[in-house]
Amino acid sequence: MGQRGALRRLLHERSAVIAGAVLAAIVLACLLAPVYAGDIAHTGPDANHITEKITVSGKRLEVVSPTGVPTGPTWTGRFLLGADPNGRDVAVRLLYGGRNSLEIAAIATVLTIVLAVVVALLAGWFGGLLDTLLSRAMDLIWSYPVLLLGVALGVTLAVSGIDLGFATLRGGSLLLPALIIGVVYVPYMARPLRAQTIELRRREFIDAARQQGLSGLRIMLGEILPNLASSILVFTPLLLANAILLESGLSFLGAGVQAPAPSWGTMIAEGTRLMPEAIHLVLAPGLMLLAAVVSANVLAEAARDALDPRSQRLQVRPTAGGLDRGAPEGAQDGAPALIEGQAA
Amino acid sequence: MSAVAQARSLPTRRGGHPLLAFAVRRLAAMVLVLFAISLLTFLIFQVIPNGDPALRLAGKLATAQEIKDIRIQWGFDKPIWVQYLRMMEQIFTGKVISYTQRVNVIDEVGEALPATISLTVGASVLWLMLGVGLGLMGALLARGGRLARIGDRALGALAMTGISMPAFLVGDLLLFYLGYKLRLFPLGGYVPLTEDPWQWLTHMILPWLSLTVLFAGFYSRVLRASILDTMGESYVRTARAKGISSRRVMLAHVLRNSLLPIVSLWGLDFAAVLGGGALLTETVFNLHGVGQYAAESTQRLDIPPILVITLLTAFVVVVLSAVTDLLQAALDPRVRLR
Repeated sequence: MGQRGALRRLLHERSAVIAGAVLAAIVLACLLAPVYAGDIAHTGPDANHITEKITVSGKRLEVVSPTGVPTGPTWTGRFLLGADPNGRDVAVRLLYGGRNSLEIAAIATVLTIVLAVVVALLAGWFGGLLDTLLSRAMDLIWSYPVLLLGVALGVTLAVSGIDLGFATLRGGSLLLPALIIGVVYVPYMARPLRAQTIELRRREFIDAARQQGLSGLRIMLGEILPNLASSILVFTPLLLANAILLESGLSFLGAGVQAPAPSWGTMIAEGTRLMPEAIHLVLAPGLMLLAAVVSANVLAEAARDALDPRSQRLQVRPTAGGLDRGAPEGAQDGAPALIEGQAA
Repeated sequence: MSAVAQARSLPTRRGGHPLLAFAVRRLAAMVLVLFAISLLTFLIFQVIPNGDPALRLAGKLATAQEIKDIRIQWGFDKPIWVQYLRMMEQIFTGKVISYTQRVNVIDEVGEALPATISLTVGASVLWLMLGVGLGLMGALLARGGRLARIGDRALGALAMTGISMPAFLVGDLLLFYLGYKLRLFPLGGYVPLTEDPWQWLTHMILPWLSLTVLFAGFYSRVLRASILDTMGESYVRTARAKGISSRRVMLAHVLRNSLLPIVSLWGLDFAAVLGGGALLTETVFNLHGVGQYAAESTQRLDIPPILVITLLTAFVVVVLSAVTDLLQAALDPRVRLR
């Protein structure tokens, strides 16, 4: 299967191009947050304007009314998307929050991929006791209620931080939710990759490599890993979408990004508390998050179709099954189109 | 023994009834899962420096002596494995006490269960029906003409939006537009069915819709793919060749077999929500169910309720996954009980 042909097919798929463009635009906008804050909104993400007034089309408006209701979208440079109860600019916080949400999701995704590939290669290549141990560990994470595990870890660690031996993460560090999310999703990816590794190990070209006297490590990295590349490619946007969702869920429950740092999840949580009066506090971060997650999911689906046009089927994740559930049916088909079981 | 009889008895190589062997295997697995999960949860809170339960029990104004007394009185000075065994004993005898509220956790979960059961039963029926309906429609449209395929893509986009929505955003939007703006439904809370059936229904509709939005999209995509897959199978061609109407083939042959992945999916999602997995939805709608109790307990770092609810979720999931496997075996004779 030609990788170049796959890229051409991907670029021919209109939905993939649009999704990619939307995702790129969101990432770019969030990266440019300081520019927007400095040159257009003239404020920072944590700057308070609670007692100030602004002029919108000739009218003087209080940023936050005496009863504590913040102004809605002004559709001008200052307070483009309105203010929050602390008189902070929602648009500015949206971009800075996006930086945090995307940063966490990106780190978590990379972490999941690295861990999953290591687990899959070790378990699939060596088999035996190592495979059993790693597979059971994956099963355990899999059968644990994801959101509960995340919240439990997030809340405890948010206060105290964690000492990893080689590095210490302070409470409130962005790396904490990234670490939690990264670990939680490892089994989703490690299982199909392990099945693929086992399948590849039986092929002739691996025998040939062995006959040539290549070491196990070189075969794993030089022969097997490249053959896992297309699955990893499909998994990347998929994991990104789910990491963004889980981050928002954790932050919503107070177990992710800690105040006053913004993230899409914490912003929606703040907006929910002020619900009927100021729906823009929920809509702005909510729609932004939705746009990012939808684009990542569409991209993943298109990538899978392009890399493996034969496989139209979706792989179903047998949610949190028992320890005795083997690899899901169709695990050898490569990457799934969706990860089921998002935080409800 | 004839070849046919031999083939039939294959799953029971070692003798005994296949159903019995299945039940024993699943029971053993369940004990293992529950043990591993309880140990992991317990250790997470033991390893973490801030997890000291004595501080939580003593409250913010406690003196060092009070904290020390509580530590001894509750046995937190004992080795970890003794503490673990004691906690497990308390859970299974129903005497486990919450650290921050000092109330019986089992009673609290019992009080929260009706709301969670109401949520699960109503929502799971809705999301299954909608998911199957949309999936069937998508598969039929996908095989149709140009205009039909556009309809299929629209359904796909709709499903993708639902799948990509965070649970609390769905809840917020439903509450705001249908509850606050249109005043069609109450703004959250739970009324027991036995108290006022009508109020119960109006309070449950938005949470039901919320979970339906989250799950139906995924089901429709899985079913659509499964139907398109099944339609390529040889027995479907055979059925058509024998002159059976396409409508009958669709319902009796294709749909029946395509529903297999949906059945296991449904069973496990049902179990996850029933076990208190819908933390976000229950919290947004303030249902006071098991999920909301779990969310509140984690925020208070209250270990006993977290342990109990985690075990409950795992228990329900294991039982329901065994039930769905039985259902699948009944639907498809090719499926063997493992």
